[in-house]
Amino acid sequence: MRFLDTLAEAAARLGGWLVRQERESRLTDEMRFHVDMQAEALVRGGAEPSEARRRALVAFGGRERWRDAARDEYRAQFFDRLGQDVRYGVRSLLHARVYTAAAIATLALGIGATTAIFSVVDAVLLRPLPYADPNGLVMLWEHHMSDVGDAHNVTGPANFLDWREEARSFSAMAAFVGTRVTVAAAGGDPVSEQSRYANAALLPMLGVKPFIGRFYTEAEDTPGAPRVGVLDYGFWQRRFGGRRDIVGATARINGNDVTIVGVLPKNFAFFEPAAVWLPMRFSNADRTAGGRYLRVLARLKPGVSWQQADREMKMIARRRAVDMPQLDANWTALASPLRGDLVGTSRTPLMVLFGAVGFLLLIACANVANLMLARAGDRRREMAVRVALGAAPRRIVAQMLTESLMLAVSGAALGVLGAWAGTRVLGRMAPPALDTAAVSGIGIDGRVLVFVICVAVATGIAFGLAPALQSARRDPKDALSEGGRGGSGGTRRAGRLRAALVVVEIALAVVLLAGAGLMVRSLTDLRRVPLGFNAEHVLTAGVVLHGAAYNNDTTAVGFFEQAEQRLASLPGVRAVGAISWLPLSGLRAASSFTVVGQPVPPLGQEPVGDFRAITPGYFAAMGIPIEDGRGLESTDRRGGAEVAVISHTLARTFWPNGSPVGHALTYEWAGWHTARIVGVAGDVHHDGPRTEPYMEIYLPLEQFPYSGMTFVVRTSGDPVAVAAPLRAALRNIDPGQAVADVKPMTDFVRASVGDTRLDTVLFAAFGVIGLVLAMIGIYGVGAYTVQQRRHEFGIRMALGAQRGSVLSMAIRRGLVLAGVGLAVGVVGALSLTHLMGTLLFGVKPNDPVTFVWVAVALAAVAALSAWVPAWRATRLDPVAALRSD
Amino acid sequence: MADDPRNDLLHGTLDMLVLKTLQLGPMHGWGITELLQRGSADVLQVGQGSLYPALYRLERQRFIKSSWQTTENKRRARYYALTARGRQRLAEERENWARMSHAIEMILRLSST
Repeated sequence: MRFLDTLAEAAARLGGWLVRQERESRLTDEMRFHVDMQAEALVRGGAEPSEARRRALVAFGGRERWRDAARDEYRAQFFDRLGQDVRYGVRSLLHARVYTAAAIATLALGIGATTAIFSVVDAVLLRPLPYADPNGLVMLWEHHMSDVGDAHNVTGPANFLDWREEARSFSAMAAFVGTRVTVAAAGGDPVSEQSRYANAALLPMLGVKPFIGRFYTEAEDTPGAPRVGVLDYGFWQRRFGGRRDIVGATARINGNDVTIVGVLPKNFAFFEPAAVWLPMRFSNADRTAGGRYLRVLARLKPGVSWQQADREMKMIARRRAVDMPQLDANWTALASPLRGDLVGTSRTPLMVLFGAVGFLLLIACANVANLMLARAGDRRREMAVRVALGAAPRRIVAQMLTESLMLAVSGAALGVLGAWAGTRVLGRMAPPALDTAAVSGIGIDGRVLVFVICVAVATGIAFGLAPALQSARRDPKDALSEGGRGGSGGTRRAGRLRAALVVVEIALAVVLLAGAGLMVRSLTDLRRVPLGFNAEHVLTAGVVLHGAAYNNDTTAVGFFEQAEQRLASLPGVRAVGAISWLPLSGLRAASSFTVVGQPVPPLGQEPVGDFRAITPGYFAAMGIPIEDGRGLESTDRRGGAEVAVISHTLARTFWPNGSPVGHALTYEWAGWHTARIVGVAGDVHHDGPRTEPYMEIYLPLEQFPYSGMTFVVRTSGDPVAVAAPLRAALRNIDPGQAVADVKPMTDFVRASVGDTRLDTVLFAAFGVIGLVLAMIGIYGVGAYTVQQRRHEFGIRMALGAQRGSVLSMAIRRGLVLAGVGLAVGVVGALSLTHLMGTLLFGVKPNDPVTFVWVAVALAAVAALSAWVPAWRATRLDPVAALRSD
Repeated sequence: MADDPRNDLLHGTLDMLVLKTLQLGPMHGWGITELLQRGSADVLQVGQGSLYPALYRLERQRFIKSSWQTTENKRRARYYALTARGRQRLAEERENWARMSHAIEMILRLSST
């Protein structure tokens, strides 16, 4: 604050100096003219010129004296005054520390939070996508009739190739799929990188231009063409040091020599990050291939809407269901705008947060208004004294304006800091699809910041000035004689306004708190869902085998068996297993199956199961219980009787009363298989606690060979300590294979509720901030009431009123306001929380427990805020209270 | 100014007289002095120490405005002119003055007999 003072002083000096220069020259000129005129008059009267001049000067009188007087009148100028106002303002704000802190904090929170949230919403939902003509881009999906809602399902190559030839709505169409590839650069360990296969048409459709080199062509996107690839800018920098001679060079990718033809521009992003882009190279065999794993991007022909394209896709799907029933019965197809698919599930949380932050801004404004009114009330006397001492009304208004602006500027400065920090945190909430492109570009949105600051500052000034104008215009005599007893029309009106503001604040705070409460309950419930395995002390490590040596299933399975034995012998390792698609990794392979001996459902309506290949040690290493029969064992070998372990849900669905052990399932996976059920394992939430467990079918890796497995290693101590020995052991078996995602299983668990946790933290923050602001509001009204009625309380106590009765009188107003606000807020919250829909888990939007807690918490806080000033009233010394007026 | 009781007495009156002289037309400080002196048959002698502060005060209150102009003798002088506000102010002060002098007159006419 001393710094502010100095700054104000400096500004005042500079301004004062400029004004002084002008003033002095005017005074001098005017004085000289006057003396000249006087002298001339004397000369005309017959005096000697020199004598006349002397007499004129004398007559003019004490030169400096009138100059001083003139200066005093003249100097009342802008800069002199501003300096005075600022100095006075600083003193006065420092004097009212609580008020100042509350007002600045309110402004900072309101400005910071609103700006941060809006900036993110704008970047993710409103700003155009960073692609050429983004409105013409649609995603094409399939949809299974049995799925509820409008689930977007990936498609298969057969359907994609048919669409690409038959659909008339599009000028271009490309399929793509994410995959991990192993990239071996000369002289380094091979690395496993998330990459993407995509048709040649994809990148040109997005309007992206290569940073260097070129993209692959349609001719290179056919089987048998020389192998080429394109690198992501970040990967190129990281792995190849940004060397420009990479174009034309060869990299070993998945055991093949691939010529790098180009590098993507910096900050390009499209769905998940991809280090290497490789052509799809669809072959004729793909025209009839089963399996769905492709996403499809298409560009609408000019003049075609996405709804028209959607109708055409549905027509094509109806034809396909007839032509290819074994593939497409009960499937339909759809087109949807790209933005919706890119934003995905982030939309609801962002919109809800946006609404919540709007409420927060309203509360902040109400609070600033409230504080301003309260302060003006406190200062009526001060203002009256100043008016009585001759201060011009304009002067008083200028003073109030200066103070408001000082508060606003301090609050806004802190708010900018808050907004900056907020966008950092919130950037992580944005969907990864927009990751580098849009989100890294999320800065504080200047327009929003200006808007929010204007709203907050205007509120402060409006509610600070109105009472100031009023007190400046009033006859000071009234204000002074009325003293602390208050009760003029103006103050009563201000009192009512403040009461209304407090009610609004409390109501809004209730809505925010209800949202926060529901989020907290959701998070608690989510955490409480047993995932079906024990993630503690488990380290994971993924290996996708590449190279000619593993093209044969036996050698691939042999690698994993050998690795499992080596890992099991490491110190600190208690159990080891491996699985094709790790729980919570987001990967799954679904396929239909039938139960042998039960009626065969019509084509397309077969039950769908989730297939995973595991090694015998998997259940023990993950801590998944075997509920019936046995787990898989090393005796379940290739060529032997095919066996399967099914999950609890599958077992209960088809054998609600008996045991499934001994029954059999048939499924198609690279040919038809019939597997005998040997056991039932506990349910696992493979896609996180929000998703119900799937019907799971675990098959032995021996009989269901797969080249990409994830090891799960149960350790006796800290799992991370085993990471280095694990890498070394695997490198020992084959140094050419990359190991990915070496991390504790608990990381996956934490990530699976990550979004909910962030939403909860934000909501809780809003709720608490809203509550604190409302508390300040209630306290302010209470304190004001007590201040106003101090005289009355003094009399009552002097006449023998009990402390208790004075307390209840003083507290009543605060409680009444809190009650009204609470009622309004609960009604508002009940009609708004259903908008949170998908954010919630396990609780209904009108969850009575939450609402009761919110009501109790708010009532308690309100009572406390009202009680403090009331209690002060009872501490009044009646004599002092009476004498103070 | 407050140290000289006579100035205090003049305070309000001087403002009114200055406004009155300017009602006749724009004028510089010297001209106002002359006019007040001659108009009152040398009874009112306004000191410059009072006149200029009064002019600046009235200007700040926007009852008068000022600008540099050239006199008939080709000299540069600061001319003061009445504003609309000033005209209104003058009317108010006149009325006050009339009421006041009437009241004083009534008191002075009280006789004991």
